[in-house]
Amino acid sequence: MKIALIYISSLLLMVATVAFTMNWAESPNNLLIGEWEELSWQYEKIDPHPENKSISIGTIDEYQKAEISQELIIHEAERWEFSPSGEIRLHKQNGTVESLWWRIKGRGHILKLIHGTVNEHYQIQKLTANLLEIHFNSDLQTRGIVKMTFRKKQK
Amino acid sequence: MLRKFSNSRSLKENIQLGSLTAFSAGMVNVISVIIFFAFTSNVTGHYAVLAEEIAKGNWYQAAVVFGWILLFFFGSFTSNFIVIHLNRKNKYLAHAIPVIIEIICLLIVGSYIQFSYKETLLETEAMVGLMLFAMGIQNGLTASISNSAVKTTHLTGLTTDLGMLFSMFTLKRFRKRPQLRGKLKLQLSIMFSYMAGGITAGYIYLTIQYNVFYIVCMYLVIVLAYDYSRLRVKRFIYRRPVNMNFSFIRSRKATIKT
Repeated sequence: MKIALIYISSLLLMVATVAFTMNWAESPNNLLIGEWEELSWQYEKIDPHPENKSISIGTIDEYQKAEISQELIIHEAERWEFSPSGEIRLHKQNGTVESLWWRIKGRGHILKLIHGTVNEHYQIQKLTANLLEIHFNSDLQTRGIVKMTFRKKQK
Repeated sequence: MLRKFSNSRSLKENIQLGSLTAFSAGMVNVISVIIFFAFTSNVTGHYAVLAEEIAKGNWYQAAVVFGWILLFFFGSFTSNFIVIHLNRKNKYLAHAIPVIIEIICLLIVGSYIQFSYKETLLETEAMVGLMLFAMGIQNGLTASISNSAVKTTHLTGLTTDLGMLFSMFTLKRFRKRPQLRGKLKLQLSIMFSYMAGGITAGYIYLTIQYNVFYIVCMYLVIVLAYDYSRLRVKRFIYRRPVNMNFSFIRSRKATIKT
């Protein structure tokens, strides 16, 4: 009887700890909702620009950025607006807005963007109330991880 | 395959159990990675992730991962609890109930994805948790009934054992030992079955998607049915000579009376 009590109370304690922590800490879902402004794009490895060889490793010019993001849904998006309904509005440089869907997967570390039948997955490396850092793998001019950093737009 | 316990099990039975359950574990793990982006047949990585999330101060994610580890632990606890408490009453049932629970868990995941899944984070976390519980049950069951010889949901220990075995086989005296050769066969069959399950799941997911869960369930039902049919056949075989003896005794008694 005593052992049963110890087992049940230990189980309840652990379940309560998990439930309390999940309730107390902010879910990545909630943290993501809002408007995010692009701060920077950084690359693990990059080929030098054919005309501008002075650009240092890790940084990128607009030409390379456009080239790399050409195949991506997020192409030329500067502001990302996540809404609670699961919709994301990508505000582009030319003023147009593209609407798609977002989901969070895994333990909250994968951001999935859905555009019709096309899905893209980005790894959420850092997500706080003000800062979002996502990574994705590219095999174009960059070989390795592309790091995108965003700052939350305050209302 | 399921009904024999601990040291009374033969190598053949362990290979059957190991390869069949490893195949289903491989399928479940690959499917969970494809759909949910989380491993569900092993927890070593989750321990590392838990430590990482705590270090980063991501308490929500840490709680989720801790909950997953807890569910795997609880799955193993449940299956062994059932085995040790029911084993004396009905060996087959004691080993079949955990598999039935595993099937129910996977059926819930499969049908939920089919009918209600909206891809929210909470749903993903719950589904992964349920699958980890199912894999905990399977791993606990196979380890329990094979005296820890068969563990099918993760391959860390197995790969370590294989490395050790191959190094031992550099010496002739170890190569000649039937026990070690048997262990090698068992480990290799588990490894290849796990891989085969994973490759199969990854391949068929492209065409049948979430229905893979139903296939895994069907597969586990076949394991249960096969074992049950073997049990029936064995009972039938063992009964026959007894009846023949009785008829023989009866006929002897009849001749004596006359």
